[in-house]
Amino acid sequence: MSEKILKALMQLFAIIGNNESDGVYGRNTVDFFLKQQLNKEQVAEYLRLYDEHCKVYHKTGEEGEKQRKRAAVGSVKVIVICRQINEELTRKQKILVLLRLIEFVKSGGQIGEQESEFISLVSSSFSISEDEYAVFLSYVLNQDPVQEQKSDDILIINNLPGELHVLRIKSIGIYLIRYYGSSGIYLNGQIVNSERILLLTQGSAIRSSRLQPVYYSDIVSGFLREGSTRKISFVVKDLEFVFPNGKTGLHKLSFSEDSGKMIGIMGGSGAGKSTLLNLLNGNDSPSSGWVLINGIDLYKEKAALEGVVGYVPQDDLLIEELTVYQNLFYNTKLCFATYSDEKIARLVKKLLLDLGLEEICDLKVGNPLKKTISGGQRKRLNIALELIREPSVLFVDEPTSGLSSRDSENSMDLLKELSLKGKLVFVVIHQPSSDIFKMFDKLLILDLGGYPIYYGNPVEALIYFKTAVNQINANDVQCEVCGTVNPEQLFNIIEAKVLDENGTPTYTRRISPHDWNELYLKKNVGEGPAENAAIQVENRSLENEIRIPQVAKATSGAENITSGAENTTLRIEYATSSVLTNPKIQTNFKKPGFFSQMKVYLSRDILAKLSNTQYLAINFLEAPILAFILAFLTKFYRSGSDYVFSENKNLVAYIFMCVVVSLFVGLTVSAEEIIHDRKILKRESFLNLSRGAYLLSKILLLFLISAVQAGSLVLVGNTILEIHGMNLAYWLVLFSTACFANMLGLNISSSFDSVVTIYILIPFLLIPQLLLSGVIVKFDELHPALSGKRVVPLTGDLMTSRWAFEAIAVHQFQNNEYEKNVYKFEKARSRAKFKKDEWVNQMNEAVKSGNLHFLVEEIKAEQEQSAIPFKYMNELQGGTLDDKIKTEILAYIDQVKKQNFRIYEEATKSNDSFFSDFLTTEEGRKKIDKLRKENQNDKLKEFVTNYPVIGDNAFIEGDRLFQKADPVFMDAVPGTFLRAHFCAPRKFLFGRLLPTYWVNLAVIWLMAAVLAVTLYFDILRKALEGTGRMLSRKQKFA
Amino acid sequence: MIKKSVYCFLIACLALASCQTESKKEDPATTVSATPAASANRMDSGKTEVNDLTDFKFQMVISNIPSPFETIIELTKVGIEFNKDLMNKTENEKKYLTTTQKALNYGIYGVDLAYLATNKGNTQGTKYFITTHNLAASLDATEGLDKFAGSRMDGHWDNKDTVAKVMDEAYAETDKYLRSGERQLAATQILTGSWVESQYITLNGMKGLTKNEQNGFLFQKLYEQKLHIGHLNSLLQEYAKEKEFAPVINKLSGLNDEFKKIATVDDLTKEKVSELASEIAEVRALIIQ
Repeated sequence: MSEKILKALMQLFAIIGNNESDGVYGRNTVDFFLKQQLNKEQVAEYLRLYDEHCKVYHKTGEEGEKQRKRAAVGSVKVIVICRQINEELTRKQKILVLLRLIEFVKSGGQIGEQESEFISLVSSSFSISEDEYAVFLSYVLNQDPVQEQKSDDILIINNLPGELHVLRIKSIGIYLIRYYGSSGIYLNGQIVNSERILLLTQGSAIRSSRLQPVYYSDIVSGFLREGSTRKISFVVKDLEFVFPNGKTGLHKLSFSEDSGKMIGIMGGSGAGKSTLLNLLNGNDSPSSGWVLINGIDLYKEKAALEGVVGYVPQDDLLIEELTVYQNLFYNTKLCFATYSDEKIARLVKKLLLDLGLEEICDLKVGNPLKKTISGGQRKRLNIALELIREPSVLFVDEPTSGLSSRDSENSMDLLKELSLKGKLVFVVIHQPSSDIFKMFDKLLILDLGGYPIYYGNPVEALIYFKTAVNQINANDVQCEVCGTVNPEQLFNIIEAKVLDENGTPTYTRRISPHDWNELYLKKNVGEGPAENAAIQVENRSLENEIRIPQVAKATSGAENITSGAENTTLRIEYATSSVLTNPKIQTNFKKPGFFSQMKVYLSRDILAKLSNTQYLAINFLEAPILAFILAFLTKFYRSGSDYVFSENKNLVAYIFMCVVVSLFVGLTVSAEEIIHDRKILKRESFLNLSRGAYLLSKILLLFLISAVQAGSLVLVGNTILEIHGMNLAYWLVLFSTACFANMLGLNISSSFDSVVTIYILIPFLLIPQLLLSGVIVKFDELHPALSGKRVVPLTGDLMTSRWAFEAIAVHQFQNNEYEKNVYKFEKARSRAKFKKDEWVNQMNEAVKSGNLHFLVEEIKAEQEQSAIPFKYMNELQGGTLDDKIKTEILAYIDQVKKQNFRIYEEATKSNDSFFSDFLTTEEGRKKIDKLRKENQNDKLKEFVTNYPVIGDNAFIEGDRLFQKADPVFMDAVPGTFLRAHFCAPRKFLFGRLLPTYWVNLAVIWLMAAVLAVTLYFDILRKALEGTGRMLSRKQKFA
Repeated sequence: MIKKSVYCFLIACLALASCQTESKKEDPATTVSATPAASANRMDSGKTEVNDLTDFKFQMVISNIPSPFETIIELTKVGIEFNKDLMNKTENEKKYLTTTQKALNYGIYGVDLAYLATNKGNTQGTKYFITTHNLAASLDATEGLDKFAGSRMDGHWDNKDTVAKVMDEAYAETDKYLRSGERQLAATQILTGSWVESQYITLNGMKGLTKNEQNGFLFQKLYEQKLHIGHLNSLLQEYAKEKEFAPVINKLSGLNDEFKKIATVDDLTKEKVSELASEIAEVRALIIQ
């Protein structure tokens, strides 16, 4: 407290002090107050100051008029002083100031009108409501308990020798006690002076030789009456968890709790705290046992408990790129479908204000390495994500880890406040401070191997374990002066080691986890010391007495839920009054519909990405920079001459690399997406939000990014290489390829647990795409087991790179402004040439050698294609190949040859005719030459026409003759579905011959769709987990 | 010498392949052209039928005309230096889009390939061979070339012995293939191209020379071209209506008139040679443009 305030208080005391009294009690009160704040010298100094003020304000013998004037001046001074106090003291401190003031005034016996006015003035200056002030005043001033003003905020514990009155100041959340009686009762080990009003702090316990302890939590629970809060019963029965490898993660556990409690879960490393938390929150399913919330099975009826359970894991749940406000805003939007944006904004602002986060609401959350907000603020914000929707049962994993003691207390205060609002809060905690330890209403201690070894009051736990190891001062657990406890003592006792002959601790525990568990079961520990009688609590505003819902032993009439297995299960019983079976749990939570969720996810993601300049820069510059490098390096031309597109020897490499870049960029942009959100997703799974909506939002956003990336890649690359009129066609294929890569990336992002694994995996995914694209290694030159001559082998068909490259290469060749004029002539020439040359030769050979099957198949196919009938087909199919038939076949071959000669020549004429129109003038010649140079790439032509063919131009497979040259002029063989030789111009899709460009695009999107299904059902992850389980089972058997 | 013999053979094959009509019918497939139906389907791009007179004239030209390579090889004997600027650039190949352009220039490049062989240590042989091959391919005249050269030449382009052997077989096959195709127009155009290029190189080499004892045979050879161009011109007149070919035919006709003016070999003065060189350059420019 500042010097200024103390001086002001001394003035206040002096002003209000009753001049009629001798001032001794008042001075004593001041003395007492000062001793709580200051050391001896300072107390003396401020008392001196008080005395001086008294002399000024309480001069004896003043006349009435002067006294009235003095009173008026005093009032003004009171207001000024109160204003100063308002700026420096918390509300809780102000209440204490007011309390001391009233006690001070009361010390003089009668309270005069003037004093009463002064106190009232102070109260209103402190912004204490009139109702609260009236109850407060009555509570403090009243000498007779019977005359005390009735109020919901006064609770009377009357099964004592005397009465204990508890006043709740609701607006601040503090509790005061006043004892009317003569027997000695103790608050935290200090005797309670009759009529002395004391502050009841968290973790306090009131004891007396004739009374079982009354805990702070019992009193708080007493105020949480039916009707004022929605009540929740949380029943755990025979809960047990065994890991897939057979190791027990949690031994049987049963307990029951009501709303309005904060339960701590403690234990050393490996004790199974997180396992238990994940079981209790429904994240994992137990091996046996169940958890009922208001009678509803947590594991089987998840939908009925939608929004009831909340979970704050130890890790950050925040989206680093968003501001504090945005994090909370979008989270809230996902919780309250019916709320308007304005209402949500109001809610969020209020919560941020309540949590003291309003000043940083526009700051980006950042990550723990690049801090923009403090660790404590992060933790509070994490908790706020759940606080805002007020789940009835909240699970929090280590809310204080890594925080300063101040931040830890702030975070725990938040949770305590939530429990005081009637929620049930489970907190896994590690090394709590004394204050935090005392905040818990209950403590569940687990020992190594998942053994429950204690459940009950936290402070009593110290006594219990001290007693168990026969420590002499077992009951001496709190500091008599400050009430501090040392929770570390617990684990010192629990994990104490056996000493060897030299006094050095060995690795053996004095008491094993199993023994602690046995001891616990044996002693039937429920709530510490025996509580044979429930505390009777009276609330005078109600006609009837109300029992504080309280954990009690079975002997008090509670149901024993584990009676069937007493020796093996932890027997923790609960009061029957707290078991609710009404499944209707009211909650404000109402999740938005599929598309609304998607919209929220999408906006959240877009905002996050837009605010991450590094991400934006990398992702939106990556593609154009790579395109620049790629195009610049592949822009071949002879030095000294101008660049000519048609002479660029690297167009094939450029197209191939564009496909590779699209795959790579698509993979890298998506590979971290889901793993990045995994923690947030886990928490949001409690909200039962749609995975589909989440994934769809991700997919849409990634596709949008890929569209931009592919666009910039094409624009930069094609501009540099002067590729004309192909931008849209390139973009569509590269965009589709990137989308496929996005889907692949999302799958691996969803299936693997670490970013490193994912990045190691990327080369494994890309290298086959490179090798089996048909560009680096020809499909007919692969390993014989994988190669294919007639059609692309299946291994190639599984590669997106093959479809993408082929689509662009074929389209670029076939549909450029130059080739599209003559493609059909060249195609006809190519086919006719093959027929009149290779086909005729092979058929003649077959006639000579009597290769019946070959002749049958080829003539059959020829009849279909050229419509030249062969009259003796039936005989031939019947196996007849005599001289007559041979002669007929030769005549047939001759016919086919003639026809193809004609086709060849006609196509040549048409081709020449097209060009000769240009060649008649110089201008025409230049025009056609320009058209060719700008559109037709010689190297690409060589690639897609397989020129020059090395070796024979034909090969026989399955009694059919196939051409090796000019694949780009050969359509897929009838009867095939999608599959064809590499660079085929058209393929069959459902019996229709369609351009390769569109067929390949369809295949790429089909692949992406398959990946979307595997992503939605998380098939890859499940397959990996299944394999893992199988392997571990095998190892176990081995 | 091997290099020279290779090119010599190459050009000989080229001329044969281009000019000869079918003389053998080894298998049933080739009998097609001998039948009346085949006659109706003959595949000259300009005509559907080749008459007997044209056929006679063609035979006449090719049986009398000396191999263009022979003329080229003579240049080296009188010390005329190799001039690479006289060859058609390989980059021009892609400009040739029609059968006429391709056939004429196929003839041009064939002679260039031979001329190149006279220059020891040249490194452009492969390039000119590929160019020639490309044109042959687009004229559908590479079956033999691919069959023999494709697999066996791979990786042996710098081994002249291998090249010689392979090309020997390859061109024999090409000859057979083309003869079966009855493609007189294309063959005439190839012949025309090769004659023009050989005379272009010769005349440019002879520019500024005065006839003497040493080079007299060269002038004699040039004088003899008077007869050959007459025959060639006569053959070309059969194709005078070919729209694309006609300008070349007209130009050659003019050149024929110039040659007609030469009464004796002594009329081939320095000035006359220069004049003829200019004329032939014009014809060539028309072809390679």
